Amino acid sequence: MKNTIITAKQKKRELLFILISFIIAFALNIYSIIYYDSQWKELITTLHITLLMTIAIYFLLAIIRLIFKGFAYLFNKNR
Amino acid sequence: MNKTEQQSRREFIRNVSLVTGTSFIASSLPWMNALANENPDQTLSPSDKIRIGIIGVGSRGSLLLLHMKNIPSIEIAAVCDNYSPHFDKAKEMTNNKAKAFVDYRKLLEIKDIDAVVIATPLNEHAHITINALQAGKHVFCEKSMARIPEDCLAMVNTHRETGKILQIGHQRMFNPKYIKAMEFISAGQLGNITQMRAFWHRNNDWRRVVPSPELEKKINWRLYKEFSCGLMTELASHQIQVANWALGEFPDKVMGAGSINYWKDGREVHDNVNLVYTYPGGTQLIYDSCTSNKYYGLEEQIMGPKGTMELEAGKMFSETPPPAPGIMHLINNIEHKVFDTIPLGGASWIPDTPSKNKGEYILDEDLEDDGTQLELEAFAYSVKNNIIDPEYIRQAYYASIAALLGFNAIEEEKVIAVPEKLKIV
Repeated sequence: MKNTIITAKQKKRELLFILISFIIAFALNIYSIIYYDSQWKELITTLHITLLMTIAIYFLLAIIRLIFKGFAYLFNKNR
Repeated sequence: MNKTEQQSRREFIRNVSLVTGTSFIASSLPWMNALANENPDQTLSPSDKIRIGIIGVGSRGSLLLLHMKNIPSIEIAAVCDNYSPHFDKAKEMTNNKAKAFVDYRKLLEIKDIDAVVIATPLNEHAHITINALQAGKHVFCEKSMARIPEDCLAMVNTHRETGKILQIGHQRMFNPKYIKAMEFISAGQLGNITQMRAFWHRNNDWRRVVPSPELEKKINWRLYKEFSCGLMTELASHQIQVANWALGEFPDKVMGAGSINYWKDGREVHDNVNLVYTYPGGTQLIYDSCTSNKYYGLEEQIMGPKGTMELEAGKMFSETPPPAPGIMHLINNIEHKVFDTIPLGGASWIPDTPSKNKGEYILDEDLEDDGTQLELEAFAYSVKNNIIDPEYIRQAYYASIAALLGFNAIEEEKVIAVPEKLKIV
């Protein structure tokens, strides 16, 4: 059986994507507070929603990355 | 009831006093002063206790007896009932320590009884109360006050002439949930009250088991006009009192309709009633009660331009609820834009469907007390300290008058105004 090895580089890359996802979610929260003129304390009180959005964005990015990888694989195979 | 519950209710009452200041208590809840000042932990000598006789120990009377057994400042000195099963049960409940009577007049002859609690059928309230007050006893009488308005007035007059306390069993006036709600209403959280609705719906025949046919009217007295006005005096009077209390006015006229449309079992009182009470400022109370459907249960709804209160549920619904967090707003907007159907033509009318606002609880904690224990504690304190609260009796009086005139309006099929001779100050 072949061992699947997740390298340190891969781990770092995934952590970076999670961080990017969190920044996007947090930025969306800031945008909505400004746009809907709500309270700044929501940055803390709705942190759970920001974290859920982080997970959703991370999985969305993962799907996009998979699609890109799939295209790249097909492109390289045809060459 | 345990000591902790007792203390939390007292803490609540003291908090109402502190938060709202004495003016709210003095103007809206003067009867609460008694409770706010009472110390439940004090050890009482027998001379500090008030000695009470209970007249009428049926279902309500025995419940009051149980509550009173929990109040250190009360000694149940005597019980009275002319129905032998209730008489025996009452003696048993007091472990045969209380003197027992069949005739209430014998009980009133006992010199060292300070006060009586009356929980008899409605038509007996007036003469027993008047006799007791004239015999120098303070009186706690269950609602409604009497079977006819003139008897209610006679009770109030005797109370004022003798200087003895007369308290009527409107337990919602001592219910922490209601007190807090009145505090909010008084602070203007609903704006000026413009509309009130109250209802009490049940789905049962309202009958009690009768051991033999000749006892039918004695046991099921609530179903016969000679003894009671049925739904109006036994249920509606509670809710009319709440409406009066919330509005700070008493109704000056009533119209109504009612019938027996389901329980055609020989009863004389209506099994459904529908009324409109009009207050001097133009606000109306819409009231209905039925005994053939319980889906909506019971509720008192107080409405103003800023919000609605549902007092039985203990909830307040603002007309402008606090907005959802910005992020939720954003998500909802995206969701609507993606999934909502696109209308082909522009909507010319938006349906006024009920608000989906889930409201806020009036009290953070449920103290599990409908006010019965507190009203009895207040009565004991008032008797001990000879405190007479004129506003309390006005509340009780006008609730009874409104219930009785509502019954008359249904019977006579006309609008009835409160006659000048029945108005008290």
